[in-house]
Amino acid sequence: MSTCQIAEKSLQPGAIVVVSWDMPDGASSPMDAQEWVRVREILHRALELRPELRAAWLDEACGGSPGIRGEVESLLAASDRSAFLDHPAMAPASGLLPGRRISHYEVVEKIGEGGMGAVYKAIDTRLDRPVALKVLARGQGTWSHERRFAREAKAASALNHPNIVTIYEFDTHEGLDFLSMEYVQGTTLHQLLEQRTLPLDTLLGYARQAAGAVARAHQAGIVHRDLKPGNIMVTTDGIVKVLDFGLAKRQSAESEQDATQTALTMAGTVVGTPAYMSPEQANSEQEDWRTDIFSFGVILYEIACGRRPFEGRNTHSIMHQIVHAEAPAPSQVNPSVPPGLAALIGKCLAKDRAARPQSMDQVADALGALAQAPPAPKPRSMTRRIWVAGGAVAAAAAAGLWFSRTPARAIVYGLEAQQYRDGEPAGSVYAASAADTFEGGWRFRLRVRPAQSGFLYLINEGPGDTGKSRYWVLFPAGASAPALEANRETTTGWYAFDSNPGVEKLWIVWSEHALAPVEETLRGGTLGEVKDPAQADRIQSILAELKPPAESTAAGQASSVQWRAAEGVMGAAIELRHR
Amino acid sequence: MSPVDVTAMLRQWSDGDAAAAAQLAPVVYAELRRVAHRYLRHERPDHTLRSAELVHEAYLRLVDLKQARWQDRAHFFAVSGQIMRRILVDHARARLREKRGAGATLVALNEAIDLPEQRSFEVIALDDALEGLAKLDPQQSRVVELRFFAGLSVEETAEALGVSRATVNRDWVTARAWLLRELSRR
Repeated sequence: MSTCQIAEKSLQPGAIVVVSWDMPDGASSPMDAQEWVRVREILHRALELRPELRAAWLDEACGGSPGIRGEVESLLAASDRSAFLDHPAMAPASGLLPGRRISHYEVVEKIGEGGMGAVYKAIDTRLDRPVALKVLARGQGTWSHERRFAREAKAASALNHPNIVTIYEFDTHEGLDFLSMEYVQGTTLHQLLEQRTLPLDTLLGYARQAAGAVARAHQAGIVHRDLKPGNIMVTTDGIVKVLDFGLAKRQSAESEQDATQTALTMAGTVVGTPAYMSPEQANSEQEDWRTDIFSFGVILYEIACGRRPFEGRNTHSIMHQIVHAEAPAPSQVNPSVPPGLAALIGKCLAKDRAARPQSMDQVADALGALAQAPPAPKPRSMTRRIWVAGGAVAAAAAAGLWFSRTPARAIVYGLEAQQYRDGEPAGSVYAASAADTFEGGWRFRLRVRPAQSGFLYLINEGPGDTGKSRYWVLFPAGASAPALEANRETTTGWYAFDSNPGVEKLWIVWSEHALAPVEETLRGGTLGEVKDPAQADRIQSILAELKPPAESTAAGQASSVQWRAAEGVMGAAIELRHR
Repeated sequence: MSPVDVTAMLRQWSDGDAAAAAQLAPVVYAELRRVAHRYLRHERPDHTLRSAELVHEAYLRLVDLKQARWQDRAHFFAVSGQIMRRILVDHARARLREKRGAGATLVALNEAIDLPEQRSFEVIALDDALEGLAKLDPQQSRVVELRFFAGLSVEETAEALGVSRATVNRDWVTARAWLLRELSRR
């Protein structure tokens, strides 16, 4: 790695700066640098661990070097402080600084940024209650923006519904236009969908509440026009609040001028993601309340399938698909979507608005009816079966999202499958659920999201020649396992399963520290195959700790999910067996 | 200097011509100033200038985007980080001198930068500490330069240094700990 240094001490206007790229010089003694590398590695690992686990790690890593340990400990202590370093030197934060007063509101902190301006948490000093304050960005204060802003305030304040954010006031103070509204503490549906931890029926319950709110707005002649998961909040009590009627307009007051303005808005500069647009919006055509029904269909699709119906590299390609392409059928993406839900989604996503449900009430009712319906059976012929036992996994599978919920165990994972023909993927990726069966030619991959940072391994165990097991390290593919960030989803590559008779197991192993025998294998250049019997024994002893209790296998149960939190290692096994 | 020239210089620099980098710095510096002045004239009450915006805008104005490669942008970011550091440190020093009544003329950008007094002390102290870190770990010091002084995101910093985002994150947390301890000892 080359370095880049400025030779000039202080830069004055017009001064010549000499920039050179060199190898680092030996200004510090090699001993210092060497020591630093060690301290740095230990420190970094320690920072990834929960504070209560750090001491154990330091015991292990600094054994016999009190100097290094002292160094790491003092650095750890320093790192706990919040510091000025956490904001760039210039302008600690954009927007209004805490404490700034606007009329009788006092800004507490910035909580979001929308198309037209920033949103702050503020205190209404007269009523002494928290509010959300939306401040129209001055720099963008064009006539159309301000007009739209006023329209939002009027439209939304006319609505009174428990699932719609209440607007308190709209005013101007020292040249800043602002809107104060109910302060909602919670999470957006967008965040909930990204977490992928909630079961389908819970998410559908939220959708139903939102549908009722939008239906109420439609009855008042107000179209939301920007429905998306980011505009749907869920409070800590599970109450849904639809936000941001930012583009709403009164249908009766529609004029030629408004239609032009709509087209301007739709040009994509102000509105963020186009993924939830209706075909008529994407075409800049006249739109009505049924545009919301299409957008709502996109949200339902995302809830059911874990992806959006229209995806593309850029705005243009997404908009083109919205207008011209049919979304992949929900059952194709996730076979466990109840047929009733798939049908409702299909209707909402009709390109022709006359073919959609004609009112949001109908959508809300359909969602209510679905809540009563039993889950769908799963058709498939089989040559091979994957069992994944365990209550949490089964519950999640029935809910259509095959992500096991392990709140105390802290790892969320899912198995995805795809059919391959002649080495090429055929059909779409499918979120596998418990008790699914697959014909030959299928490949599998895992999506894993640990709640803590650490190292992830995927190890295949199959029968060996000598009665002992043979191991292959499938993941990672490189020479060493990268440290994974907490709550970051990792997707492995695709693996074809061994077609030899017998049982094979797929071990998902997560560890707080790199597992030495596995790392040795990775470095050994055997493409993950564990050839050294000593390494195999060490790996086996790690996995043995993760094996399920004897009674569970004795009952003829073919698979197991077993987690062990001790010593910072957790694992799950998916067992695969020929019939 | 026209956009083409800057683009060509970035290219020469990435091809190993150190003299090109020396020629480039004053041009980038001047442009950063110009952009800052322009911002000042259109100042908004709810908006304070961020260094990352400065760097981005200077890049757009100086570099011929039709010819630029991503490496050019990375090099531009790299040189901007050093320049922003110098500009901000000089500014902080000048501000504190002025406070003490020395009557020094503020260096460029002063109208557009608003470093409060506390911040000025911090910037100078950090600049000092960062020299110590550079001796131990040059790459970590560059990460801090780009993140703190140039205000670049993790992605942009990774791009400028030609390393992964994970490496930038890793360098940042350890450098942060080292610097905070260093500053607390002063």
